[in-house]
Amino acid sequence: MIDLSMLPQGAITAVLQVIMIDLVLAGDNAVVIGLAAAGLPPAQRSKAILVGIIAATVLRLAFAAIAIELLAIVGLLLAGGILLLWVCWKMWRELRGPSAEDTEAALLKHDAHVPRKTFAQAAWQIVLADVSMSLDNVLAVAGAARDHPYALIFGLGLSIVLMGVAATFIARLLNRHRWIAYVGLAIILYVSLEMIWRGFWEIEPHVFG
Amino acid sequence: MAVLVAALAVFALVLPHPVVLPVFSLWSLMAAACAAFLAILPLRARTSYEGAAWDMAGAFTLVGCAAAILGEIEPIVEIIRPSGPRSKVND
Repeated sequence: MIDLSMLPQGAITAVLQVIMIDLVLAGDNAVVIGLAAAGLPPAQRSKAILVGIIAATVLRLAFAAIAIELLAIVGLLLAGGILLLWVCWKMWRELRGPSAEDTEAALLKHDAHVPRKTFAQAAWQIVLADVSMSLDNVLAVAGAARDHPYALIFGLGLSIVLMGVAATFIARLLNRHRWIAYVGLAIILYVSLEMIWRGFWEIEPHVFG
Repeated sequence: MAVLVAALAVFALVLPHPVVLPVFSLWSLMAAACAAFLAILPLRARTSYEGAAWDMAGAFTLVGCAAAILGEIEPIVEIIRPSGPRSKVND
């Protein structure tokens, strides 16, 4: 076994710490942004990814600024988990509907009965998911990185890049192999259920005494 | 798929248990970056090769993100904390 506590200390370890924090910061957002953007025509996909990244960044900054106050609110995590679960449900229903290509083909044939995912719907899903996940991430990381504010600032920039690149790769993959979207949805479902679970145990002493 | 499983098995054998998933996540994302780099290289007979490379980049990214989400951040932060007394994080 390698003892990682023997790693050289200093700059390298600080950067490693930031990268690990940002993986958690960016990973779930990247999956949900990629999942929502994959249902859009290629021309609108990059726009939806941009909206998702901007929303996630602004929300993180806002939540980080009031992290102490947020930590004092009981039940916030549970509410965030339920919100994310609802986003999962919406995505599940879309996945079981016709694909973007089928919809495009049907629209070319002037079939008005085929549902079509709009840019506004995708953006709304992304923003709702960003609200709950940014909230969860800020609460989780506020404790871990409170001694290194510079790491959080540098990390924010890194997470923007990670989110953008990762969401683009994932959206491209999901568009070519639609079944993999169920894997992405399972990941988001896990995140939402984990938030609900932790949120429940957070409110349990207050509700049941 | 075989590469992913082999890498995960090696990490599980060599590394301490709490850091397996975070390290696997880093490795997957680096592999995704390499696949994307190969996809944008101006190679001959690009059409089929490019599609496969982008698929690999997407798959590695999805696996890397999933591993990051499933892994715990606290043990890594504790292990690579540069200096000072180690405390229980996220309390």
